[in-house]
Amino acid sequence: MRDAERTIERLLAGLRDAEPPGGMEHRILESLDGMGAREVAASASLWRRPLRPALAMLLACAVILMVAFTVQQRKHVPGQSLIPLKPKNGLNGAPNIVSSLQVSQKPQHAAADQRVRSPRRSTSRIPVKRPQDAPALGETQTASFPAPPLPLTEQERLLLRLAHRGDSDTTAILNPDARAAQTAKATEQFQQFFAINATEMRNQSE
Amino acid sequence: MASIEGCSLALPFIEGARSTVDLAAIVEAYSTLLFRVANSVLRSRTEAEDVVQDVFLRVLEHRLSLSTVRDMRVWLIRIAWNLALDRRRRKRPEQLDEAFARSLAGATLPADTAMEEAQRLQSVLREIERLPKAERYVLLLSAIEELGTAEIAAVLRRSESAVRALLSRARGRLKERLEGEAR
Repeated sequence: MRDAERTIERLLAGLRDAEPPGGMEHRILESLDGMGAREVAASASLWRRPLRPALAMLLACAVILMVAFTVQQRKHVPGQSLIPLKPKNGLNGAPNIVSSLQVSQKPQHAAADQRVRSPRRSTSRIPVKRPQDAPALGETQTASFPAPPLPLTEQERLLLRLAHRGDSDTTAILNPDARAAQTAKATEQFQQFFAINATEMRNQSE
Repeated sequence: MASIEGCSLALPFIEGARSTVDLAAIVEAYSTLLFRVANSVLRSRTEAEDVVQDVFLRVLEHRLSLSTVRDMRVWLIRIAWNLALDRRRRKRPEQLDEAFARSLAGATLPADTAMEEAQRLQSVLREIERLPKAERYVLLLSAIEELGTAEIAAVLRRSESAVRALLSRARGRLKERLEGEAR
């Protein structure tokens, strides 16, 4: 009984009288000094910890607004639509080609563009309008569209006809006379183009 | 402003640096007490020193809210206590206890009897660790002379009467178990 009590007391006394290692306070203060200097330097900067999330949020909102505004403007450019090109008179058998933007309404586009832009912004950008600057200014304000496709050459048209002989467009012609005439015309054009004499061809083959 | 061995550290803890807290003075006043608190849990001088350093790092981190701390002494002891418990969970406590018991026995006794005493101390430490958590905490904190019952109660967030009851129960249980072990 006495022995157990004595051991407990001895142990608790050992814990009670524990002395910190020499120079502990100095070591702690040194480490805190370094830490404190770093903290003060960090807090002195503009990007303080409490401000950082707020600034990040603000930046994110600004970026989102800019993107949304740009997308909205692009969506509402008026007068732009994709239309299929109608086949020309001499190209009954040619397939339909989807054209790019229709450019016949250029003046309207330009006018619409002018409307979309805020007048305040345009006036602030071009403070002085001189007559010699007018063409250059006009160029900068015209809407840019891709060039219209070039018309096909005669050779290209014939090749196209050759490639599409007997396709669905041709066989859909109900009038047999019209179909025969079209076939004859096509053959004639083919022979004319390649300048091959039918009899010569036959002789050669024999 | 107080200073220790040429070191002095004044930190602004209210925006605008209108008021400052002298960390050097706090270190000087509380480091030994905090060391003993941590050492009672960890039974290792180096580990306890690390805990004390961590406590003051916390103070540095929370310097802006130090003005809201009502009782600095209790607040610091509670931080040290919690950090020490947390550290003990991550270490191998048996090894720490063995080294502590050997050093305690070897400090005052000759080598032949020191071994036997070290084993007895180790068995006491083992039994302390087997006590219920609340009893163990009260017993360990009561070992620190500087802490009164009121402060122990404040650190553990219990009433003073509960602390007294827990302490008496812990001592009784410990004695009982050690005697049972001896038989």
